Amino acid sequence: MQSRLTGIRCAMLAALSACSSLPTRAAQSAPTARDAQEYLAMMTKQVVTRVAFVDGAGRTNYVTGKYFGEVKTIKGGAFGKPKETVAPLPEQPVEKQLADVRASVLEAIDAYGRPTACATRITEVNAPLYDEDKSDSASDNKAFSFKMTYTTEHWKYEPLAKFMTPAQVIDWSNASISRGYDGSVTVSSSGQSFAKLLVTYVASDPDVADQIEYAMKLLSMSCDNNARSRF
Amino acid sequence: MSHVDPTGFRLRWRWEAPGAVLLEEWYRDDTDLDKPIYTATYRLGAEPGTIILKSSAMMGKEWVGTLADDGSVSFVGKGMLKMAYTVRIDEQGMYEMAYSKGRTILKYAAAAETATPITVADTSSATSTPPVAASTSKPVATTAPTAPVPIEKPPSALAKQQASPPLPPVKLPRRLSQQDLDYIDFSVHQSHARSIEQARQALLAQQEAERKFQLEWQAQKAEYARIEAENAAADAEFEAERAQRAAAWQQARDASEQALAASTQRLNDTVSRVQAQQADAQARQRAQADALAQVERQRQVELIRQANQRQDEEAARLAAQRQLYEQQRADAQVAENARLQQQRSSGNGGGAGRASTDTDANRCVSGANVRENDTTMGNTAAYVSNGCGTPIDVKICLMTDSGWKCGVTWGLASQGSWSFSAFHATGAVFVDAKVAGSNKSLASPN
Repeated sequence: MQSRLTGIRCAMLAALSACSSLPTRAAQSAPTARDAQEYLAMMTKQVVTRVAFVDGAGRTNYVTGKYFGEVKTIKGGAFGKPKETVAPLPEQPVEKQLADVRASVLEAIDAYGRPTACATRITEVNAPLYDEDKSDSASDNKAFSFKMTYTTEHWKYEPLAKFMTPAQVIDWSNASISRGYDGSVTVSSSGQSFAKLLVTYVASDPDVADQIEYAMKLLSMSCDNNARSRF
Repeated sequence: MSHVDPTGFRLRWRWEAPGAVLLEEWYRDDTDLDKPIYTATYRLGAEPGTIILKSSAMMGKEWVGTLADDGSVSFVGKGMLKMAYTVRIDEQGMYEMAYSKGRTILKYAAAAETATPITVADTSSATSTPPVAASTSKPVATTAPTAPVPIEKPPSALAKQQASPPLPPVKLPRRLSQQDLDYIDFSVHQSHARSIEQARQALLAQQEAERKFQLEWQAQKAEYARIEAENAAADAEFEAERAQRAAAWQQARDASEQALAASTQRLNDTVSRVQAQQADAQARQRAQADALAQVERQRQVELIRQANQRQDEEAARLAAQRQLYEQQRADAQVAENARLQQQRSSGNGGGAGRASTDTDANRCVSGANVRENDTTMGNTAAYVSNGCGTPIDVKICLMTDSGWKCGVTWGLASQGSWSFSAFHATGAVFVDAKVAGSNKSLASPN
């Protein structure tokens, strides 16, 4: 078992050395918290890394927005010029929880902007387009008149900057790590403007999941003296 | 921090908005730190690894700082004046600002007195914050200050800002022992094994669920097949019954149709027979009626002929009588004339000559002309005319199937005609007349 466990370290370091400009990294025998930070930041770009910003009301990746739109009506007949009218739809507040928000840039910076290996700032996130637009048309033709109706509706939500300004930071001195049987590894921590942050690496390869979990636990143990009791 | 040159500046940082806006204050080293002569604010930039510095001088000029891999931050001014410089924490822990590509370097060391609170003039709070760098064991690159630019006008608002609470120290990782690393290895191994086991359990659960589903599906399939078989048997039984009922019904239908056809044929025969009988009866009745009618018509014609004959005979008789009367009257007239002549000659006039008409007005009536009424079918009329010079009363009676029918007209004018008609006349006619106004009664045929 020992050889395999050491292999996790080596694999993690080897992965780092393959992507790092530091030629001496692979030669190190004991990975550091800085190595783990770099590894997790690197893996963000290689495996799906979902993030969940949970607010005080238990809502995940909650965004608000507004619904608006307009109805354009063109009425005409056999004689004369068609008449066109545009009526706005009443604005309404809307909300949703984004199902797929992914971290794209993680940095070892604390909540005050200070570099440290005991914090991981979720600097940049992205998500599929979640604004919605819908258009519809209808016509009512009669013997000597017609009416065409064009309806456009929009659901515009606040941008993802909500989750990046201020950037939320995982505090490795108070983080919990869990692993799912599907290969996912999740770290959760209390956020700054959110009640809870969750970062989940969805690794299909169990060995990669081992390395990610190793890096997370290394960070947790490096920054939290009581981490061992939570493993 | 204080400039290493005693004549330089003193620097202090504090949070204006925790985690968002860092305030940098510049004091002259020879002043008493109660009023900064220059300030700047730091905010995180929109791009990762960037920071925006805004100066209180130069009309709020801004610099964009970029974090380098070595921890230093390079600031480049926005607009025409770049005024680039770089800050870093050097190997001695001093805050270093390098201008003109390193040709000018300013260094600031942590000031011993900054460990104690610094009071800012006109600040309502009595507490203040020691510089970040002074409270930490390591320099913090992201809290880079800006270049000390010439002061245009110290902002008065800064004097009213309150001091922020002290920042928590930067958490730094500890170096793990081999025992710690081994424990992590062990934990990851355990977690790996647990996840494998959970995956296995999940797979088993999934397989078990699939097996149960298959069993349920098979059971449902068998149940469905059983129901299908029952339904098929029921359908077959129903079909057999239906076929039997259909055959029986067809048989009954054939019999009924046959009986109906026979009945219809009988009915048609009966109808034909009855119609033939009716036709025969009608033909016989019509023949009888025609014969009777012919006889009756012949009889009526004979009666009419006889009546006409009688009328003619009567008319001839009357004509003869009239002729006789006329002759007699002429004779009488001659005699009267003679008498009158005699009287005139003797002067004795008399009232004779009226008695002839009064005596028998029937002489004035022409023979009754009996014929079918021109306008009314089956009606027979007898026509008479007054041939005298005075009005007369005339009575005509026609013999009918029910007896005599009589009619009278009063005062038939001279040369006037009158008729009397009756239905079902048999041809016999009775006529009587009297001078109008006479006391004589009209006779009756009875």
